[in-house]
Amino acid sequence: MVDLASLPDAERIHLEKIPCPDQEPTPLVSGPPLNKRRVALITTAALVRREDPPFTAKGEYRVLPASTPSGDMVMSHSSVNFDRTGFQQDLNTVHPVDRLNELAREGVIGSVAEFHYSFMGSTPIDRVFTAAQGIVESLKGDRVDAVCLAPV
Amino acid sequence: MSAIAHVLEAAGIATTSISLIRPHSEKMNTPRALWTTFELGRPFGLPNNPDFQREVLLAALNLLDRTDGPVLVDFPKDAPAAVEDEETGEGWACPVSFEQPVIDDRSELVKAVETEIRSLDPWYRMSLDKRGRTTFGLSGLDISGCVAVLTAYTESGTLPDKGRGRDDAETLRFAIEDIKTWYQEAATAKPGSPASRALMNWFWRETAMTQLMEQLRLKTSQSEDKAVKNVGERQLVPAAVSHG
Repeated sequence: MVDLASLPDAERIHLEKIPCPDQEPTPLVSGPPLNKRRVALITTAALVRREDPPFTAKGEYRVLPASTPSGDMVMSHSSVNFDRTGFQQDLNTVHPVDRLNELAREGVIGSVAEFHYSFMGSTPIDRVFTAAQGIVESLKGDRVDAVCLAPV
Repeated sequence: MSAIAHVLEAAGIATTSISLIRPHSEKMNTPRALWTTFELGRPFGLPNNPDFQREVLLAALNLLDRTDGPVLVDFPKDAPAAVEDEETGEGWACPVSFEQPVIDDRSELVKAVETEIRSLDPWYRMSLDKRGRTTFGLSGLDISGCVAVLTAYTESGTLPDKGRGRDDAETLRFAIEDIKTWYQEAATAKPGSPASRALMNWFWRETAMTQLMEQLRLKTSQSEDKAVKNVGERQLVPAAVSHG
């Protein structure tokens, strides 16, 4: 449980030290109902396809084609302070592609994007802003109108 | 991660986020966030629990209707408790028991590591068969190659085969990651879903490998390469173990 008060001191202090600047709210985009939306996933677990270069903290992203087999993904995150054993046992613990595909088959969401994306937490925030700008046009080209982001 | 959500939302793409640390989402005004109490590294709860993962994902997606943000909603459930051992119903125990005494002699320690890997190898292969995948492979080396990286650096401060590492620090980090992955995949091959803490305690408190990693940490602390020093200080032992 990540209720900070419940964590051992070492972990709580580590988490509290993570830089987290104040950010002004951004007006929220409206859109069609869920069953009409095309959804992409973004993970900040630094997942890469096995043949792609592992992440550095320079502010990068990687494309994860929706068709990528789970066995082709490895985690290149530089932090050792989170659990990896859930990911090792089941990709969906971190990057729920199978669950998203099921929701599309059942008509709960409209469709699944052709491409998902990966970033690495533990990256200076100005570099994350810049890297995130890099995927906007690709998402629009893929007709994505909803993104689900998940940290680790 | 909130930064990405702000960029996308400003560009006209609706976002919803899983939050693992509520104060961060509050401070960052994440556009739409579902706060969960799950441990770091498990944003959708538990491995091999598709119903629960689906519930979390759907709860996050359902926030997309909201335009009165920032939206920060608490997911009402904790992650289900891990099934410790499906066969016995008792606490998890590694399929191979080590409980190594401290080994001072380096060549004896390397032998103990090799023995350990031989004992775990059938379990690693069983994990491959069972899951049809492995997350081992960041380094571009096999398990023996990863161990060779650690032993060579510990002995001489040099590296034999750098694999995919673009410098010494990356080579060390990728080898360390792959070794942990290999051990943990082997250890979770038997039925059941051990709590992550049990796996962490096993790896860091019982194996000979952890003694080799401690020797590596000491060696990197003497390095003049800042990136290598950083690997030893921050990218080897989790804070929960080193300060626990």
